Amino acid sequence: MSFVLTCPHCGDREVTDFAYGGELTARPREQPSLRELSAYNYFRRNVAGVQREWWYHRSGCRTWFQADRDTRTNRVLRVGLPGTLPQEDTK
Amino acid sequence: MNALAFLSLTESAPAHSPMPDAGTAAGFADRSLIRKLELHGQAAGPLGQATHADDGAWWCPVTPTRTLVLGGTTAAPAGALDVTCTHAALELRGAHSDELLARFCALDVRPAVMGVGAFRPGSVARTPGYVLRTAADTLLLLVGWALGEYLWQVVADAAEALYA
Amino acid sequence: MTRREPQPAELIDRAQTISFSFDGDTVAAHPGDTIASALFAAGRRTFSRSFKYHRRRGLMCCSGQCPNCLVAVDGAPGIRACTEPAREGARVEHLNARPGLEHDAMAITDKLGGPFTPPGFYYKTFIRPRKLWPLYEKVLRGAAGLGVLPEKQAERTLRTEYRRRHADVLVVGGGLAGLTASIAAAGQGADVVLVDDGPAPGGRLLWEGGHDQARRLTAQAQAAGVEVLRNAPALGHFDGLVPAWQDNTLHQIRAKHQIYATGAIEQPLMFAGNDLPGVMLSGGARRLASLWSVLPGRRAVIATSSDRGIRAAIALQDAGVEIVLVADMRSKPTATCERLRTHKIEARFGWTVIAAEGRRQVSRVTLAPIGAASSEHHDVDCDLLIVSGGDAPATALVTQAGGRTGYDKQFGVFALTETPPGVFACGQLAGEGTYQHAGPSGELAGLLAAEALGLAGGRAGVRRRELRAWLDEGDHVPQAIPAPWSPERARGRAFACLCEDVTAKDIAQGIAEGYDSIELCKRFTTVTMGPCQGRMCQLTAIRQMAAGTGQRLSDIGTTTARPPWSTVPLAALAGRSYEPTKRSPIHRRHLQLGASIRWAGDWLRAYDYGDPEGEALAVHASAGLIDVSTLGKLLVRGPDAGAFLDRLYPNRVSSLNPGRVRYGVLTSDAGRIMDDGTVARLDETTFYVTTTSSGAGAVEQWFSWWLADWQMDVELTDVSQALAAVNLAGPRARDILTRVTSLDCSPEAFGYLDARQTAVAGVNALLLRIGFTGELGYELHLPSAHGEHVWDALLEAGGTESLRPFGLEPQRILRLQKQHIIVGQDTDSESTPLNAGMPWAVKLDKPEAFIGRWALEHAAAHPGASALVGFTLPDGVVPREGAVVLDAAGDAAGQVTSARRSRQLDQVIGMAWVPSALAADGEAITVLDRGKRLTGAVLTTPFHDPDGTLVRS
Repeated sequence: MSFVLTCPHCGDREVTDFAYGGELTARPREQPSLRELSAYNYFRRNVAGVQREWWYHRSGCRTWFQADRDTRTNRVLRVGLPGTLPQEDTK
Repeated sequence: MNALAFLSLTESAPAHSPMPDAGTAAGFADRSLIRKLELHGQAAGPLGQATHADDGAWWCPVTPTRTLVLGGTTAAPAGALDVTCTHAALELRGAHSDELLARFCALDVRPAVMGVGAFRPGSVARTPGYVLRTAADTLLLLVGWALGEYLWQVVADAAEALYA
Repeated sequence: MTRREPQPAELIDRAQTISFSFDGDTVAAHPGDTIASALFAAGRRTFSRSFKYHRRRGLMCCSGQCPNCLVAVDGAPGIRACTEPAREGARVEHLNARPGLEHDAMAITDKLGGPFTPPGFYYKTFIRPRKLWPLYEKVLRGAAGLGVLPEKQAERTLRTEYRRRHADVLVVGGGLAGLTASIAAAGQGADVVLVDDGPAPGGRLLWEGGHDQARRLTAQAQAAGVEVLRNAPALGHFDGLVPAWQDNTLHQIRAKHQIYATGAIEQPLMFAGNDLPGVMLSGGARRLASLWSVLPGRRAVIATSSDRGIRAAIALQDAGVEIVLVADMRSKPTATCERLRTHKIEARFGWTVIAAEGRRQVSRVTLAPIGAASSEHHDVDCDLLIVSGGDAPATALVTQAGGRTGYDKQFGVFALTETPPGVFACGQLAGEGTYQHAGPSGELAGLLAAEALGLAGGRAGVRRRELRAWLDEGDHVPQAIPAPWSPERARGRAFACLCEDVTAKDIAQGIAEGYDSIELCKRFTTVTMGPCQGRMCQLTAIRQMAAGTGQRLSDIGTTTARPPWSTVPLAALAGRSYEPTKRSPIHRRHLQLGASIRWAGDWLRAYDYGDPEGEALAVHASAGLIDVSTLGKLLVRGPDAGAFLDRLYPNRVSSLNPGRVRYGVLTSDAGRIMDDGTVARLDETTFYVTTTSSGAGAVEQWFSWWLADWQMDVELTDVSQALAAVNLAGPRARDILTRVTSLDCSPEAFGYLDARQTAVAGVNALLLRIGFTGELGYELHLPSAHGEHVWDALLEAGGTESLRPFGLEPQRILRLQKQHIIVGQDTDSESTPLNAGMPWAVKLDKPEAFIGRWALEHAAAHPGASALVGFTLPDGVVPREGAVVLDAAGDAAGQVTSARRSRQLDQVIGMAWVPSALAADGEAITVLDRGKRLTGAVLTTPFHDPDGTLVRS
């Protein structure tokens, strides 16, 4: 894996510049049941396709951002700071 | 006393760079002890491009709200955090600076892409760092203070092979 | 040395002579020679012994494609003699033959052959009895193979260099098409790099008479600003990153666009004895004759499927080789074939070669008409058989980039059908490889790349259309497609795969055993798996598969082309051997004090100063000083800072008064311990957080992640490396500290868990009264650049009588006496503060929501099966960390996480995970270590100073 990822602040960098934060998950808003809590903590969709995920520019500006990446091809469709990416279905 | 005074150097006390006391070497030099300040709030200028102030300081925007000020002699702006010792600094100078950097850094520093004043946060020698082009043939590299000696060794080793 | 008269295209410098050794014999060479060209000029014909049958193998491709000339150079095996430059003093040795190349005892396998060496023979035969496998393995590994690594790796050091190159366009392949492409792209203003695996750019131009044009184009490219890298094979295409290996440098080329101009690979033919020395591809023979001025043979027969062999016949005759006969598989002569008549070369059309014989090399070949029905044949004596079985486009790299291939019925090869966006192909790779087409094809690719960069303007668009139209009009010269080999045509082995000695018969056997897809056939027979990576064998294997299974070639498809495409030393991929190494700002002092330095994560730390137990005792008796600069340190500032930390820690942070310190453990949302440390409040809006040394990076990421999510008014700054930190600990710590500061250090003014700022030895410092060691202690944080100064001042103030530096190991003894955990050592991903003996660090009654709250509430209501406790072992044996704790039934029920002998307490102490039922003072536990059962007693409170009187003193 050696693709280029675009940091919203710094621009193009080798993917090794970044820390991967996993796919976006929704933290329960209020007291979850044990089942809900376990699903949140341990279950991931692990899609073969485009997923929205967290990345951290560890070696650069130290900013967390989000990327829509196709897990099959490593093609990154778009990146943005939290809350800036369109709310479309990325599954 | 300022709550964060313990971050600032005391002029009267001996201060040591993390790099070896190797004096000057061909093509690179230790610049670790230059003053470094971190400012929060609206950054000066566009990301990727530092501004050269009258007092010699480079104002380097890291994010839209965080600026690193390197060098300079005028009093620190209000609210500035003294981060002089967060980063060791090494200057590459001479015609081979870009080629030397290419031995241990994946950043694109081609002059057409990164002219004088261009500033890049990114991995340097496989560790988080910054690169600033202070002159056509001069690059200033910053890495964590504790990695200063390491960076010196990496650069010295690469320079030895390049200049051989 | 026998050479032709000087040739215009030759690469050698005849004015100088150098020498190297081959199997101990001295070989003369000229600068510019390869090892192979010099050896061939000196008369050597056998260059290696084959993998399985130990058959003689000689030069075939002379361009680094086939496996026939693999040798060891200066102890490094797997080097191709035909591309490796001859160097003065090099020590060259053959591989895989004992006692020598000319007399190889294992050649017996070729004679016996048959029943002993079919594919799968080893797997089927040596599986039983299983116990004997190590013995079998030893014998088999000695018999087969591609050389041995030197016994002592330290004897060979290969200094490799990594070089990053960014570019607009990378051109891979420097033949006519690639050179023209680079010139076209650079002409539009693109920053272009061209990599070529040959000694000079030009590709076939160099040895097919176009050397002047090659030199002209190379100069033109360089004048246009193209960086031309010679002898630099590209290794693969990794998401747009293309490494090229040159000399001792790995160029990592990241270009916006790639133009592949990798040409084609001339294919061998299938016939009995097709691997004999003296059987050479037309390209190999012509390279020898042109580039190194060595005649490949005296009397040659040529078997070809295209005009390539015809041109070779004419060129070699001009060079002085007697061409006895040309067997052209095509039924009718082409225009080029007319030239044979003027050269008085006899040709037979519709004929091919079916067998070659000879003891040490080819001495006779048998030619026959195409089609097995006829028994007509013609034997010819010769010492050289030139074969040319068609050109297979070199698609490996472009398919790694995302290109696709399909079977081309007209040429009988797998051709490129699709290139991914932003990647271009030209020349023979793109089916536009004739002399007339390659240049325009390259120019078009160069202009297309420039257009993609937004550079090509003005006339470029018109020119592109002209070129496309011209290329589309091109007509192709007919070629024959070699038929699959049928063994009834002639006696003897016909090799599909030279690397691993796989014959046509072996592939047929694989099919018979059910391996009917090319990927299965590959794994069963190992065809395409050797050093040539399918260059010489893939097409042949696919043809044999098609014949054997009745499938269409297009349905069989190709094997996947994986990197590396060219041979590369692992050292090249590893790069220079430097590892990011963190050193404390006081590191030099530890070296001066003779500390034993060890890795701790990415830090080099003072493990001890020679006497860990004595150093620990000194802390109890008087005072010790330890460098804890490795601690993670974060500033959390802003109006929301307290609220932010309240959300992250299971205890309360915002209730902390300025000037006070609190211990905190960080938990995940699963309630698991992630890290621990202290939080000091410096003023209303400023908190100073310390983390473990190894957890610093993770905590910074964790904090900033939640900050990104919650968008609170908080500024986070990592000052881990900005500050040196030392811990002055022991009953005399206060006395010593007061000698270097004017601060009132009395217990009343500066009590336990207080934070103070003051000048220490003239340097501004933050002092935290905390105690990991269990004794009265002060943690001093100050600018890294002053670290050595303050360290020196403290040691001087203490004097060697009262103050002793102590390292990491004595600190581990001291903290164990207090049962202070080390995250990651005593805890794992299952540990919560509740079961790790720290329920006091969790405030489930605090009003704020916090990370891990839900899981900890659940854990509090459902206590886990095990708990972390302290234990003592009265019989004095120190168990290993990781030793098993047994339950009453003797089953494993936990493990020891830490254990040390404490001289202060005069006993063995430790911490362990034990079944919850045993987690009470006085319970007996059994530890199994190295086969011995040890009985210990549980103690859930600190072994030393359980009430904390000393630390508060």
